[in-house]
Amino acid sequence: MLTKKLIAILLIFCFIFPSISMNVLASSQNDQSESDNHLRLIMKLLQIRFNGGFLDSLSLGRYFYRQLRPPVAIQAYPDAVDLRYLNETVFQIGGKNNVTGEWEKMIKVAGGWDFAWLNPQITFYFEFVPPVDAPDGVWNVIFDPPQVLMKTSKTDLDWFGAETPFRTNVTIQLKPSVDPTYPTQDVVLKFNIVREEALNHIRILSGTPRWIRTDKELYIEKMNEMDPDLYKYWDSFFNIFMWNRLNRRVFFFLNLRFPPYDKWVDSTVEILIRVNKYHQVDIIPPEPVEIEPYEVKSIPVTIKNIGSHIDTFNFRVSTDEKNMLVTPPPALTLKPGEEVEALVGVAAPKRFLSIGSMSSIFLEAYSVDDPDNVFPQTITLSTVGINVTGGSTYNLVSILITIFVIIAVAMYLLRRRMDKIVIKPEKPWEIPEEKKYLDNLKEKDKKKYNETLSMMEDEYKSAILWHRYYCTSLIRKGKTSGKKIEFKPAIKKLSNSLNKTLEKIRNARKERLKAKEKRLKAEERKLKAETKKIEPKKEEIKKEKPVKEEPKKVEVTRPKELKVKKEKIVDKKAEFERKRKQRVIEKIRRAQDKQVRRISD
Amino acid sequence: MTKQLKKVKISIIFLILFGSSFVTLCSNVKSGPLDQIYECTPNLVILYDDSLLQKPVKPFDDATLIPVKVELDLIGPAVDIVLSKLGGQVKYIVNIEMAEVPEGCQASIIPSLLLIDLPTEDIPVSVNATISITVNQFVPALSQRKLGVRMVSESIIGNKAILINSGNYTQDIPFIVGYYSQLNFNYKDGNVRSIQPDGIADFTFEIQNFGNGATNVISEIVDLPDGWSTEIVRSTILGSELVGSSSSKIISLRVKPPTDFGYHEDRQIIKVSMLPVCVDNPDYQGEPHYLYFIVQSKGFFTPGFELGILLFAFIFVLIPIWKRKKTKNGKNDFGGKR
Repeated sequence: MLTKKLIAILLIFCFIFPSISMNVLASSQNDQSESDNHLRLIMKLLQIRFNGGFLDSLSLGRYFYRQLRPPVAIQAYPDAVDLRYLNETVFQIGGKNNVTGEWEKMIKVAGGWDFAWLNPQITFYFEFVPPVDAPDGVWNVIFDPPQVLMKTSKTDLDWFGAETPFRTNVTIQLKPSVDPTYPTQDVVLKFNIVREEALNHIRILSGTPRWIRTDKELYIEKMNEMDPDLYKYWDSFFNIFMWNRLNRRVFFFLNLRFPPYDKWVDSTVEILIRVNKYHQVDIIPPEPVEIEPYEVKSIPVTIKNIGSHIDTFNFRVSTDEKNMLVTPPPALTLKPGEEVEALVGVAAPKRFLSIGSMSSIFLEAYSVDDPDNVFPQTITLSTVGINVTGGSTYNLVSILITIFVIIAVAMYLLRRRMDKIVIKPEKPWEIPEEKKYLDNLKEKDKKKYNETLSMMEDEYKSAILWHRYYCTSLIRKGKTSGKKIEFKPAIKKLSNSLNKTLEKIRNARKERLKAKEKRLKAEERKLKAETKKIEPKKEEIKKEKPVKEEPKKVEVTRPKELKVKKEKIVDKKAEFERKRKQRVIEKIRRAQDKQVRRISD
Repeated sequence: MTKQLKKVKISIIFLILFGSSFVTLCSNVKSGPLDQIYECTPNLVILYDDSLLQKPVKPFDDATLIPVKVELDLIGPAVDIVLSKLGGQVKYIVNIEMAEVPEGCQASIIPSLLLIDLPTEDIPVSVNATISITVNQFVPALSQRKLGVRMVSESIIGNKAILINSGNYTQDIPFIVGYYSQLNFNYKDGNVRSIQPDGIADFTFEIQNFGNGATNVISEIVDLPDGWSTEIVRSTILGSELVGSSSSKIISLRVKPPTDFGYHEDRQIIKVSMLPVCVDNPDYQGEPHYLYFIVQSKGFFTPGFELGILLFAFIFVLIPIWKRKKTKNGKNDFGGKR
């Protein structure tokens, strides 16, 4: 009896303890001075209470919790992708095992082998959620496969699609035709994973699946393969028993509130789309440009940014002309759609003459962010013109020197030619005999000397004029008639005649001089005879002899000589004048004859 | 009879006790004060290496990846008791997302769903994640921005009582925007000149700063040919439109060709390097840009004292010749008449 009472008290204590422990803890919290032993005891009591409340059987424990459906993190792989206009970008959405890195199977995402059979079919759809600011249709998204489907069975574990990896390939394309300015920055795209379930209420009510009895080992194997740590519900006889007796009914009633077909967004996946700068530039070359040899020129080229972003473009330049220097335009930063004029520097090669040789300048533009993507253009250049070395002053001086040399050579040749026709008359005062005569005359009579020299000069001028006229007339004649003039005999004749005339002049002069001397001597003699008759006069003369007598003689003789000379000079001048007039008249006559002949022709 | 009654009595008492105790343990009543002892509160913290974020995030560059650890620490009076039952069996699910991204930036964190295995003991556990940051607009250089990362975890509730409370934490992650240089050049009056050897080729060009910070442009002549000389301003400071200062300036370049005596036909390309450097921190530099100018020098170069030489020629050469000629003429003046 006592034993029975003790057992009863113990049981009562055990069952009532959890209720009492609450008060115990309350007092322990308030009492700061309680020892560690008491705390440990309390914790032990609390653990006993918690474990009691974590009753596994019948899942009735107040604190009981079990993760029947293993969570699978569904996300995008990779988590960020680069996207370019017109370029397709592919990534994957699915669940991966953190440990193995392999794709999780559909069955795990669907809820595992334990209770997935409640739904005859489970489907996951993938759905693209366009950004709020995206224009309609700018994104083109393709899922492959568009859905992941699994069909369950109560008879066996060979479920359709259960072992399929839970993943889909997503191909996204940004269509620039819709809005070329969108997007200008990176965007986060969202994808919904929609779960669609068919629910068979009768199946829930109809008891445990057959494969629990027939393929239990396979079930355990598949469960271990899915997650070895996961609780295997159908491995427990008690669970099977309870399901058949109670739980199926409870589940049936609980699921009555759910429709036979339902779908909802199971999870959302985000992916960062790095919208790569779409680099494109349009180079508009000018019309074929003309350049002179050895000229430097800036060629304007229109550059237009037809890319997606504000972009900095750099340039490379080359040419097929070896000796041509070309320089690229500087770096240009342009907004989308902006157009500017850039300058390409060109230095044409050095050539004397170019009649339009064509050369090409190859201009390449590229974005500084993407140097491999090059946009080429060709500028056509034609080199036309003449290049003369030197500057304007240098060239002017050169031209003048050349003209001077040409004139000098021409004059030299002309002179030579004239010399060939007739030897140029010598200066009379340089002829040794004349010179001697002049020297003597200069000593004796300076006035006469000057007159003679002047006469010689006139004579020389006349001779020169005649010589020039003669030569030119002959040359012209030769040119106009086209006949060859035989110069040599003419020259000889002319020179002979000239020499003869000169000889005559000289002889005449000599004779005149001799005659003068004779006359002077005769006069002297007469004077001497007169002086002999008058004696006193003789003394006077003797006294004044060294200084006075001789000048008197000169003074006496001079007027006479001068008279003679004057007459002669007048004659010469007249003669020259006459000759000149004659020549002019002849020239006029010849010209008249020529004109007459022309008129008659 | 009495014995039987006693047995019934004891049975009824036991049934009442058992029933009451069962109801106590498996009650449908919501969490009471005693249940709260077992409630744990999650503390979620993002741990990262500060030094990684000291390095500025350069605009328009590849994403800066910051590896982080999301640490879960459960707090409560009976954490050990709860974890002894849940640890190793339950994965704690944390949804992580960017709550705040500064303007002109993009950021994301992966994975977006964190599964943390609950430990069996009261120790903090963590999982790895990666934050990627990109700056894709013109944000002022070297300015500090911050990301807000939100971590949300659902509560774990037993049959009737809460075991682990839900969590909702937001943590700021500061970073510095990097320097991004973007220059534009414009030749004001062409880039070719044809001059005389004694001339000077003057070029002017405009520089515009489209970058995200004040820029010091260092100009330098590259590979200057022998005999040629140049003049250019070495340092030009340009403001930025982002901070409201003037962002363009005109720079002059003077080129002098060789001036040796004689005829010249010199032609050279003058290459100028323009290096953008951040004014606030010269350690940050952009890519250098190169400008090209063609200068052609053609003509005869005289040293400039040729007039003097000419005068000397007149004085020392022509005058004696003239005198000599005069004396000669005097001698041949036919007795001095002329």
